Amino acid sequence: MLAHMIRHSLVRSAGVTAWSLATLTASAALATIFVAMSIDVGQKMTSSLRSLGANAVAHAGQRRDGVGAPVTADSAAWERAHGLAEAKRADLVEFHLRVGTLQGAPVAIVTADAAGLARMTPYWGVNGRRAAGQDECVMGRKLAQVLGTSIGATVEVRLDGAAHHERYRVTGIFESGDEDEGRMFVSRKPRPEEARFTYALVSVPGGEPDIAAFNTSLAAAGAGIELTPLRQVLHGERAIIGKINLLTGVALLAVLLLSSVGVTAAVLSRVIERRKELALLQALGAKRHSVVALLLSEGAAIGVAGALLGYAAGTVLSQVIVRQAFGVSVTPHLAPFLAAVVVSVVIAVLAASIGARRALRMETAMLLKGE
Amino acid sequence: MLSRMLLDSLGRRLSRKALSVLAVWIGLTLVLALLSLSVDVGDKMNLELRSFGANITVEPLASAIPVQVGGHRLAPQTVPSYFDEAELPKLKAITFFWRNNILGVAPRLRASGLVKGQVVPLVGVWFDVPITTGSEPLVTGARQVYSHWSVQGAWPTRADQCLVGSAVARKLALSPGDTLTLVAGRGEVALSVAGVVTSGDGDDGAVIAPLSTVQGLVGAPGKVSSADVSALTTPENKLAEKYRQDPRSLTPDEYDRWYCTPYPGAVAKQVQDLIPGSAARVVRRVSETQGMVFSRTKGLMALLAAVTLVVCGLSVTGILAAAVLERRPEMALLQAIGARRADVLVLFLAEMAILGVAGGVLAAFTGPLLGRWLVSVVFGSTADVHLAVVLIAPFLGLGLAWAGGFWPVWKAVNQDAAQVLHGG
Amino acid sequence: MTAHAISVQGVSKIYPGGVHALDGVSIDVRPGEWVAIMGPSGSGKTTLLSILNGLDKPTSGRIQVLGTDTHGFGPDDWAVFRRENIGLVFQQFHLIPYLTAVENVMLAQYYHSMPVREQALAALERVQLAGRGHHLPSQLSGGEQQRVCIARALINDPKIVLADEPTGNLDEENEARVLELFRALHGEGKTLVVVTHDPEIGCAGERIISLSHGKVSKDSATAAGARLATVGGPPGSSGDPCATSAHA
Repeated sequence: MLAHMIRHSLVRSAGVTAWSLATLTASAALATIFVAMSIDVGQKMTSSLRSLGANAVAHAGQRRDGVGAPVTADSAAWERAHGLAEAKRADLVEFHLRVGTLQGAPVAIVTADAAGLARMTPYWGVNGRRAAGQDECVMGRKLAQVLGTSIGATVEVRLDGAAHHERYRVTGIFESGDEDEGRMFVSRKPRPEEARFTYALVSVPGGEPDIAAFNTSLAAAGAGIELTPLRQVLHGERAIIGKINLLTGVALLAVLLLSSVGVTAAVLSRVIERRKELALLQALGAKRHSVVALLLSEGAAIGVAGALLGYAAGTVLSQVIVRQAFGVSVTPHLAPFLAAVVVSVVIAVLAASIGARRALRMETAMLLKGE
Repeated sequence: MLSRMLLDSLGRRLSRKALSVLAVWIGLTLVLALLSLSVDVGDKMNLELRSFGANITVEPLASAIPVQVGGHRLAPQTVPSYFDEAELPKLKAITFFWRNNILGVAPRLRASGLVKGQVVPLVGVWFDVPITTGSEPLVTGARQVYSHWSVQGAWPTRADQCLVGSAVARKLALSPGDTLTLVAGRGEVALSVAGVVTSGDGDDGAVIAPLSTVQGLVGAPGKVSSADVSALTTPENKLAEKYRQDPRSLTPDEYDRWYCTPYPGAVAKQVQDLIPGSAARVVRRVSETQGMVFSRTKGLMALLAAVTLVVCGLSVTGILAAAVLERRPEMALLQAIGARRADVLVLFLAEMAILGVAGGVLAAFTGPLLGRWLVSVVFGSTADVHLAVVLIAPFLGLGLAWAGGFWPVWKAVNQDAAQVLHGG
Repeated sequence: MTAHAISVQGVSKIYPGGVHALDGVSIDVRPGEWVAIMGPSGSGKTTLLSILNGLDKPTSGRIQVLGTDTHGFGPDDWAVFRRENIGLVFQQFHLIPYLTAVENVMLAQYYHSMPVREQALAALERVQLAGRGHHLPSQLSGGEQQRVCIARALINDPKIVLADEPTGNLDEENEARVLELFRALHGEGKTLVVVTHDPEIGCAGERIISLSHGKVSKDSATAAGARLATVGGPPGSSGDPCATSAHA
């Protein structure tokens, strides 16, 4: 009987119901979007920034204990580090640094797998092209300027006190703005005895806590290799994500506040419209609490409907937003759904209870008599 | 008569009307606050990119390059090259085109010294140095530029204080409050450790002291070996890429456009031109990240603001519509005594207009204030009150009131008046 | 044709759902005639009145009021027609709660021509509400509110007054006052159509049209009407429904 009355009343004042439903849907949709985004934006932003290369540097652990010249870990240690990186879906690219002489000046020569180098340094601005073959190299702009080298030139590097030499053709000159700009990068493997220093650039999914976790497992594995987060980039990233979340929070709060007032107004107007009916119910012997129950159930019904519609709409919208901004889809979560339900039902029931208070305050006898 | 009626109606039902005005007021206050926030959000978000720190480094034009890893030399030392510290305030001088884009400067003087018998890299930097040449004074240095530094203890405030990198602190067992004796080229100095810094780069292995202290210690007064500059820039586009590939390929027109856009490269180029004997480079890892964050967040924020504004607008509209719907019998009566539908509509819209404009005028005061407060909470900075937002408020109130009133009234007057009058 | 104040020809009203509120009703009302429409609840009398005043539309059939064919009238045409020619009296008075008695009357003037306070006050005086003009409806008794409603209906000097259960919410004393006002209006030659279920009100007029299931079941002159019938021509002749009640 109660269900029948609720259905009837919702259908009869269809306009008000539709509007309340629309407002609740919009609120629930926004709640969905905001919660989905506050979960996802951090992750998506982080992962899209990962496409910009490394967020940590790995090197032999002893260096952090000591002050002075860097130490190179053995290749077994690097094997273990590679294994761990794979397990954590991190990208780890090794760099071997040697010192040779070029036109009589000491030069740092870095060996790295060509594809790995490109993955870790996509931010380089390369004129010409990156080196591909064993006899090709790319050179930092600073170094190229000092040496007067241009693209296409062939350089001869002397190693081991000129006992040994290697020839490379310069295919590209890059800008990076950091100390790499004073180095040349090749892909030809150095002879083992030549490697002066080995380090690795690592791209760890996630932020600083994930890097710290990686570091802990490295230490546990006894690899003797340590990971240092590139704090400059991570810090900036965290600051921006914090701002985005704060902004979304403010916007959500404003929307919730207004839609609460809006839905309350709609419910009140409906209670006023139906005051005779409600008075009649009381006259027929309905206890006050059953009138309240009627109104609250109505509120809850609209609230649940709004939550479902809002969650659907919000999920679609946040898909669109995130896809447009990051080119990937939103990972489904339970939290946005809960948020939609809570927001919509709480607002609807709150509004209904205010309406119920108003309904109970009205004088039954007076209403039944007439206007 | 119409105006008398309106006034009487408003006057006699003051409490009910006050509710509508309140709804418009609160609603519009929020809408305007969000509006002024979203007017600012682009700029403020861009400014937030400074948390990435330095994106341009200035170095002396070098004839040789030191071979080093994280501050450690791997090859015999080359002759150090410097430029003048006195050139740096020019970055904020009124004559420099990008002075307002320069958010911070941190010069560095690299040397090395002995602490407790160990060779330690020594870095001299600015700590909160005021630059007063510009139109607005700027206090800058390591604290502002290296916002990613986490300092345990305090930042140095005196010339005889220093920071030690976390690796040095561990190795030499130093903690805030300790005193260390630093021996370098021209003698020795006692410095008290104000804090231990974790930077995640070579500075973790260095002692970081005020620039003037290091200059005195190594005998290079007024000299710096590099400077990190934090500048407000625009993400690179095709034009910037074209310049980078070959500056000479730009037409004069393109060159002008490039020169007057704060691309990282363009700002760096002009910094380099400003400081004689220097080479300014874009730290591409930072500038590219900033560019990506900028482009990702721009659309996101705009969309968020738009969706929020629309939903808030809808809510206010709905509140007003609900207020109108309550008065359906009144509309039916007016029709019964001979008012045409348009007459009823005009009467109600006129009343809504008064309420809407009243709410709008009130919101014109409170909305921007709330917006300012929001900006200060979210971005920790002050925002100007946008005159446009203030001016638009009454019109927005009018628009919302009419948007909320038109449809329900028009629907009501086209409804079955007979039924309404018979209490159906 | 112009001889009739109101002419209803074969009017039907079918509500959504198939309810025949009116089923082929035809009625003619002479100018100056005082007609009561009576019938049990659901007989269609209120629907008929709503169609006569244009607030509702017939499903089929034709209505001429004061010689004007209202076929094709939109809501606005009716509004204009009402303010020129028809005064409405409601069971529930329908006064605007935030306007005073005199302003409620002036409102009708406003839509008709020009509000003149003195005229509105005079209209209130006529319904014995002198001195109550500045009261809000909530400060007036039911009878007083109904008289304000009548004053509003009369302010524009309409030729036709349509009343829907005018005494339905009133006590006997106020009912008598309203009836007296109606007699006065009748005396001025206004055409009066009163929907009522109160025989006393019905029998005060000249003619009673009884509706049943949406059809005219009886159309007869009252005692008052019969007196007139000797002068003019009575529309109905057989039986006087007021014979018993009038003497009771």
